[in-house]
Amino acid sequence: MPGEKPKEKYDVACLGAGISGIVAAHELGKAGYQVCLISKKYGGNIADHKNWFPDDNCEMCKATDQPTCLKESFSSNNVVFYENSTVISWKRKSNGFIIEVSRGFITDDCIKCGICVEVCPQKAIYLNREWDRKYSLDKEKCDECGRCIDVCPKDAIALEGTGERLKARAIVDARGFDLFDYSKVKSYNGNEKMMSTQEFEDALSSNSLDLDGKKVALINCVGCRDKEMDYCSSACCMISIKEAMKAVERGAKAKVFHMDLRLMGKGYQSYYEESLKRGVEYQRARIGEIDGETVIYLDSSGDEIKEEKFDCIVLSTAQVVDKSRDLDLDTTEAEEGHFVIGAKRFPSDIRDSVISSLAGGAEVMSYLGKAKPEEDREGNGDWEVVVCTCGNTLPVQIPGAQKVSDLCKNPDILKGRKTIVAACSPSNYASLFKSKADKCEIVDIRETGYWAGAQDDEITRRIEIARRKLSHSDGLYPVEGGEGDENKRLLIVGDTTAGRECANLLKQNSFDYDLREIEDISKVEYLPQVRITFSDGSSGLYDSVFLTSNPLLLPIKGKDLLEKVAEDVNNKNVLIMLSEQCSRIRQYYPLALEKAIELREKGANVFVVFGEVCAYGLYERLYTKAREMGVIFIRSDNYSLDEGQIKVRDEALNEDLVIKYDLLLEARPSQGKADELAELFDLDLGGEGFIEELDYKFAPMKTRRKNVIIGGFAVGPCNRTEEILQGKAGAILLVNSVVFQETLKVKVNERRCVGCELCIKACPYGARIMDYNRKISLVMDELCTGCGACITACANNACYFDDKGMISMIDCAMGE
Amino acid sequence: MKEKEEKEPVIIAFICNWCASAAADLAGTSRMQYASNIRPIRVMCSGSIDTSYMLKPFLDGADGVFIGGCHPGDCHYIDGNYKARRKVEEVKEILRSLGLDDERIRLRWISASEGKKFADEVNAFAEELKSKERGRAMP
Repeated sequence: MPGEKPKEKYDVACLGAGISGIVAAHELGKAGYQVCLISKKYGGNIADHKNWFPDDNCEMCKATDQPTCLKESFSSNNVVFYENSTVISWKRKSNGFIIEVSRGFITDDCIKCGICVEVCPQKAIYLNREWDRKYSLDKEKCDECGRCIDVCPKDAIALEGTGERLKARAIVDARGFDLFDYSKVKSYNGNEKMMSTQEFEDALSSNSLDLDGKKVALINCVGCRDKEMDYCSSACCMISIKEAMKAVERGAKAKVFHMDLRLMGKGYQSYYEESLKRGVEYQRARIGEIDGETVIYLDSSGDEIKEEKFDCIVLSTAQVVDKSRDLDLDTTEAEEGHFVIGAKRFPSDIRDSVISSLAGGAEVMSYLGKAKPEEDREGNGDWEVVVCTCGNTLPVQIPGAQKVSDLCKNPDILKGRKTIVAACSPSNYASLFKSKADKCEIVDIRETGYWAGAQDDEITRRIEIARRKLSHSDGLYPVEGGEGDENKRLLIVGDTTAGRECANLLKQNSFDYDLREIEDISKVEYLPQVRITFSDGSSGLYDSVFLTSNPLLLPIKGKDLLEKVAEDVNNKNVLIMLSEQCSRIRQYYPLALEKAIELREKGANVFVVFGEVCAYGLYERLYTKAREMGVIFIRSDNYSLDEGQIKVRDEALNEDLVIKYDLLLEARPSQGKADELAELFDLDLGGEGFIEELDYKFAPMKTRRKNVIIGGFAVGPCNRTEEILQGKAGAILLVNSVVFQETLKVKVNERRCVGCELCIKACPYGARIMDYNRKISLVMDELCTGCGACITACANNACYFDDKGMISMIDCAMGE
Repeated sequence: MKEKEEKEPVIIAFICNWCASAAADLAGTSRMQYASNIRPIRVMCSGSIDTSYMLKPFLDGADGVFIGGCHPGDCHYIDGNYKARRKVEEVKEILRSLGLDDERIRLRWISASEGKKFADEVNAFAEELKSKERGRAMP
C-alpha cells in the first residue's frame, strides 16, 4: 500500500461517525462537496443511549434529512461511507492530505453468503449489524487457519488486512471522546452494582435490573473536574438527572451526588424542578470513597462524614479525549485545512456537538471555497426498473427489473442511474432514493390501488403508469430561483452577533444574501420560498431565512457586567453579582469568570456571589484559575444588596457575611424575546420566550419550516462563542435549506383571455393575479400548484397546462 | 400506426384525482378484477381535460377514451364535471363529423366510494369496444 497512489479523491474527509461526524458530512455533502466519512463505530457514543432528554424520544433522524432511522444506517448524497474502518495516519501533501485507511479484513467483494461464518472454528467472522453490507472479522479471535479463505467464493477475505489511500483537501476531525474508565479511581471500590451511566441505561432498557424499592446513587463528575482533568464534561449533570428520573419511574429512590448542578441550557431548569417533584434527591458532595455498597462523603453543610448504603451506584463518567489529541479551546484551525468539531473540540452534549459540527462544516466551506455546481444530473439511457422485495416478502416477478431485497438500506445502488423504483412506503423513502439516483420515480407496490392480489401484471401496470408520469415530468420546469439557479437568495434577520457572523461567512463564499432587522419586515408568506414584504413596501423572494434576535435585558442596579471597567480598581473591593437566574444562563458564567480574572490581575479584591457555578466544558479552567488567583466565590441565594455593602449568607461556611464593595458589577438577567419573530414567521414559541426548534438535541437550529433556520437568542440562551458558532452553523444550513418546487404550472393563452377574473376566484392558492393594464389574468409560478382549478373555471379555454407534459403522458400511455 | 392483428382494445382513461382515481384505488384494494386494457392518466379535475387531450389518443390509435368525473354537484372545483361533459359533447361532435363512432368516448360519474362501479364501467366499456369492429378508431 505505501507508495501507492491514492485511489479516491475527496474534498473532505470526515473522521468519526458519531453525531458530529454524521451531521458535518451530511451538510457538506449537501452543499456539494465530495465527502468521505470514515468511522470505526457507527453512531459513536450516542449509539449507546436509549433515552433522551427531555421527552425520551430518539429523534436522531432529524439531524439529517434522512427518512430512515439514522441510528441504524446513514446515507447521504455525495457522502461515501467507509464503515468499520480506521484511519492509520495522515500526512500533508500539497493542498491536501493523504490519508491511509484500514478497511478491515474483508473486502467489498463480500456478498454476505455466510459460508465463511459456518466454517470458522473461532467464530471470528460476524455481521456487525444486520444491515451491514459485508461481514467483519475479529482479528483477535482469528487464528488464521485459512478455512474461510478456502471457501469464500469471491476471494473477499484478506487476513493481511485491506487498506486504502485517500486524498482529501480538508480533514474534519470528529472522533469525539471515550468514556472515562472508572476502575482507575482507586478509592471507588464498588461491587458489581457499581456501573457507569451507559451501563445503567443498558441495564434499564434490557430490564435486567430490578429497581423496585431500591436505592440508587448517581454520582457526578467521575474522572473530571479534578487536578488532572480540569474540565467539565458538560453533559453529565443532565444525564444523571435523566437517569434518576428513569430510576424513580421504576420505583426506586434516587439520590444525585453533585458538585455543582450545571443547568445551563434551555429547559434544563424546569427539567430539574420536575425531577424534584418526582422525588429525586440531590446532595451536594464530592464522593471521596465507595466501599462495596456504601458511599462515603463529606456533608456540604458541615464537617460531618456521612456513610450511606445504596443498592446501585451509578457513576457519571467523564468524556475523555485521547491524550494525544489534547483538548484546547481553539483547536478549530490548529492546522490549515484540519478542523476539529464536536465533543473533541469542546466537551459537549449532543446539542452543542450538532451546532459545533455545523459550524465546522461552514468553516470547511469557507476554507474550500464554494463547491462546484453539480453536473446536470440528467442521466443517460433508458429508465431502468428496480423492484424492492422488502426483505424477500414480496414475491414480485417483473421481467427486466432488477430485484433488491432491501432497497431502503442499500440505496447506493441507485447511484447514477435513471430508475423507476417499485418499493413499499415510498413516501418515507422518496427523498432518499431521489437524492441517490440521477433521476428516479417511485411506485408504491403496497399502496392500495394496483397491488391487489399481488399480481405481477398489476405492478407492471403500476410501473407503466410511472413511466407515463415520467414522460409527463419531462415537461416540468423548476421555479425561477429554485433548483438550477446558482445564486440562492438568502435572508438573515437580525443584526446580532450570530447574524453578522453568518453574513460574514456567506460573503466570503460569495453567496447572495440580505441582512435585515425584524422591524423592517411587515409580512411573511410561504410559497414554498419565503416571500417577505418589507415595511418600505418593497418585497423579496428568499430561498431560506436565518432568524436571530437579541435577548430582552431586564433592569439592574449596578454596572452591567458587559461594560468595560475603566476606573482604577487596585485594592478596591469589586463585587460581581450573578443572580440565581443569570448564573444558570450559559451566557454569563464564562464572562463573569473572565471579568473576575481580569480585575484580579489589576489588583482588585473580587467577590463573586452566585447561585450556581456553570463553568461548563473548558470554562472550568477559568474557574480554577480564578480561584487560584484568589477570587472569592460565595454561593448563596440568600442575600440583601444595599448601597455599598451586601449581606449574604454563605452556604459553605454557614455564616452571614457582610461585604463592603466599591464597585458593583451585575450580570443582567435576560429573557428570550423571539415572540415577535415567531408570530411573524408562523413558528412555535417554546418556553422562556424562545422559538421552539425542530428537535432540542438533534436539530437545534431547524424549525418545522424547512427553509427557516433559527439561531442565537432566537432559539436559546448562549454566550458569545456559541453565538458565533451558531452564526456559522446558520450559514451552512441556510445554503442547504432550499425547498424545490416541481409541479405542473398553468399557462395563459393571452389572446383568449378576456379578463373575466373567474380564474382568480377559482384559484385556491391565490396564484392568479390580474394585470389590469392589459386586462389579462396572469399566473404566479411560485404559487401555482398545478391543481387545474382555473382551467376548469375558465369559460374561454384561455388557461391550459403546458401541453408538453400531458401530451407526452398520452404518448407514453399509447406507446408500447 | 402499426396494425397489429388480434389486439386487445386500448383505452386511455382520464380519471379525476378526487373521485374516479380514488375509486380505481378502491377497486384495487377490494381486489376487484377489471380489464387491463385501461391506461389511466390521473388529472386534477375532469374539467381540466382539454378537448385536444381527448382527441389525441384517437390520433395515436387508441380504441376508446374513458373519462371518470365526480357526480354532478360533487365537483371539488364546483362545476368542473359539467365542463367536462360539455367538452365530451364537443369531442363527440367532432368524431361524428369525421365519420367515427362517437360511442368510443365515454364519460362516467364515479364517486370515490364506487370502486365496484369503476371496475364495472371499465369492464363494460372494454367489452363493448371488443364487440365493435376490430381495429382502431382510426386507421
